[in-house]
Amino acid sequence: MSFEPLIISKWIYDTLSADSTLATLLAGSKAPNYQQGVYLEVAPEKDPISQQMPQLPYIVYSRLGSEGSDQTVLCGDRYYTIPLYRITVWDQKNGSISYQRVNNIINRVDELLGKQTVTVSGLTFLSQRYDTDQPFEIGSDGRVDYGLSLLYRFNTAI
Amino acid sequence: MPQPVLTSEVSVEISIADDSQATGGAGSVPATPTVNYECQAKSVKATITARTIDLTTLCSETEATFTTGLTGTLDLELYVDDTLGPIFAYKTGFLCKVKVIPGGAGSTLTYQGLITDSSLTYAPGDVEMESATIKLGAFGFTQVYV
Repeated sequence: MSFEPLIISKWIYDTLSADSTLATLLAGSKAPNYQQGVYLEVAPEKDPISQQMPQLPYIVYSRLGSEGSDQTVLCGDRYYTIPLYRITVWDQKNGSISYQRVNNIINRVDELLGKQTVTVSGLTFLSQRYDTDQPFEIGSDGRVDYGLSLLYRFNTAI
Repeated sequence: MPQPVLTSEVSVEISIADDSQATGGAGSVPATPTVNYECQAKSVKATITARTIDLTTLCSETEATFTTGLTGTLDLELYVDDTLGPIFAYKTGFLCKVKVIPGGAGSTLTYQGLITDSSLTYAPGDVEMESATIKLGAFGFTQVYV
């Protein structure tokens, strides 16, 4: 195994995008799965499914480095690594904001990703939520982009 | 110019007696180590200590330290394998041999002693680890290493 985070990243995407409950929560008033809705690193200019600009709410997840260095054993092999990931549900409002919609979505995300022991592509890892965050950005036109973030460590035996 | 020795591919073989030292008999002396744990071992630290007596006399101008024998400790840290499980659990009081084959400079040594401490570490989301301390030169052996 050479680059474990790519396998974990794919598992996050596959898990979130395969869940019908999450698809319904992300769709809002539109049909479930009308857009991809789950993006790595940054939302694209054009969603690959809808071919439109991504509509809020949506999920963006990204790597946050690793917790410490990889652990090694005397034979020289790596034994254990802990990649970190941030999963953020973004929404947008004018004026006062409400977390109700994003909270429902982030709760479902945590049910799917939190405290999971997974073996995939020959890799075994345990996901463990370790922190939360509430990012927001105020636009010049008064719109507020805001969200809820879950931060996970993926304790990975190599 | 002296060159540093990088620790890599250090082989660690361990054998533990079938019976405790207190039980005695042939089963209390471990066989020559053959099972390799190098890819579970996180670290090995061997400390050899000379036991001494002071033979200083009234006419001595310095302390006359005299060696009477060797003792010491071997400290091991191992990750617990999900198939084998911990190997030192319930083995305190057992004689043990640990063969260390350095990957770089140095000679192969087989340390011999009594397992006096073993511990297991469990932490949420972390990997299980075990550590053991072996007091070298126990009753049943004539040397701390061969």
